Amino acid sequence: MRSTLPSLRSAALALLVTAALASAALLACSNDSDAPHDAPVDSGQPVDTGADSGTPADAGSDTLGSDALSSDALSSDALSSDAPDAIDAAETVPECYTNPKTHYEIINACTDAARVDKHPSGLPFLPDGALPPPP
Amino acid sequence: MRKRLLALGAGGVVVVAAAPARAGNCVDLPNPVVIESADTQEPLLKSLGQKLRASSATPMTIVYVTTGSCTAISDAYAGNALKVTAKYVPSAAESPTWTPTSPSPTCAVDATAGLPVDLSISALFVSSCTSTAAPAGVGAFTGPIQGYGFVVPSPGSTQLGISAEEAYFTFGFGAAGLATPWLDPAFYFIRPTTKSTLLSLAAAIRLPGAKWLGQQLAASTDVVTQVSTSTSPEKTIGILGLEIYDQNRDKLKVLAFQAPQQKHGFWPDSTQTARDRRNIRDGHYLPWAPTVYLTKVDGAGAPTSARAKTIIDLVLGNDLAGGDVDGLKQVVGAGLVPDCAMRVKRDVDGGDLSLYTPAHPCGCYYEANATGSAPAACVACTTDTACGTGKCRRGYCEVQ
Repeated sequence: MRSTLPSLRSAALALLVTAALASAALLACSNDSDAPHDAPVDSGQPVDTGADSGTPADAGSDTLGSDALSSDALSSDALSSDAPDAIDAAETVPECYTNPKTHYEIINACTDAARVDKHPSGLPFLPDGALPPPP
Repeated sequence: MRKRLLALGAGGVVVVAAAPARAGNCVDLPNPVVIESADTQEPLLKSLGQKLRASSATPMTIVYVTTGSCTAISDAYAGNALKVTAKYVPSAAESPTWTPTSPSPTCAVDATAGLPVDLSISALFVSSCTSTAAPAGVGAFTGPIQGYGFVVPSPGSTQLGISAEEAYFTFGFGAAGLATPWLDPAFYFIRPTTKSTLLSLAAAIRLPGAKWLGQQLAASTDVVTQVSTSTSPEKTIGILGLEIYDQNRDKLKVLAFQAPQQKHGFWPDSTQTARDRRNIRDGHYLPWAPTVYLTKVDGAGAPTSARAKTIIDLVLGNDLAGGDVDGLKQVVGAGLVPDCAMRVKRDVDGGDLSLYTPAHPCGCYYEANATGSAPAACVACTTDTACGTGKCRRGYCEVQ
């Protein structure tokens, strides 16, 4: 038990640092005072007022995760490799990027442009979440 | 197939508006430059052509045939001459009421000898049509950016956006794709597989062009008609070049597009009704491709046709000594984005984006001309001194 305390302290410290960094990232994105709120899932309705919460409201609900792209028609080779993996995404990926550099960051850069969120349900993905090849 | 337009006036009087008279042979027009082009580029050819007909510094007549990008590329590679009736841009003296929205008059082509092509214009990367390198003596010049989009009737459809996955299931599977409300391919209005509009969007959603379901229509204008007059607007969806959409905003809506790995969908412009193409320029809207200008070149890579070179220089915004045509203004007016206004680039259709800083940026000039006013952050200038460490370009301070 004694020997585990330092590692627990380290873990706690790491969590605090992570939380602080995440908060800073969220604040950076939320400075975009003209940015719209997220639209409700599947609503297809843009909301064009209010500040961007910066909250990754759609985390986990994306229908096209980085591991859902292995069909012939949509091979993982054809996709950007700079997207964060699922574990990273859950913990550290910001809602948007203020200083984008990679493809993933560019397409998810912070912006005050109006937007629509599309996360339709019921699409016939393969059991592993991949897109089926077209007939 | 020349037509006269008949319209019934309010008082019941039949008004006959004559189409421009057909000229003689294309080769007899003054200073002809012969172009085979993707049909999405016709608005630019007409507006630029009108200025060139009136130019005293670079007078020429644009003679053109519209086709698919892949056909234009293969003809350029093979050196094929035109052997079909061509259109041309008339002079003000010949057709005083003609505007770039009017139908172009036609001129005759010798069907046996054909008409050598000076310039071929594709509206997508050559690599989307062929993996063969250009033959010796043919040069490719990257032109303005062409945007594409999914469109729905307006009013009529309540849809505002589409994700890449929805589009994949819609156009790849029809009813089995379960992408409500687009379940019936009878209401999908698409383009043939030689057309940049289909191929570029195919790359964006990663559904091969040959796998698309729907009604393949020969012309963009057919898509406009079919989508806007659909009997089931909510089920209806079409594909268009954005410059064609711009001309038909009163009856169509372009859908916001959410790319793979993107957290939100965006319109090509910063809002549904804006015209600033901001999301194309900064990487939030992904269905776009550069136009590619193909022409014969010399050993140094310079175009051998002086008229083709002038057109390339104009659309790229290169300064022409003594020139009296603002090529970039025509590019912007035609709904295209000049390369100098882009902040991202890609190397293949559907490929990843990377950051891009043009050698001679023109973002403020672009927005001023596209929207009618420059953004507040843009500083008007006449010399570099107003721009600090930046440069005064086309009337506005740019970063370099």
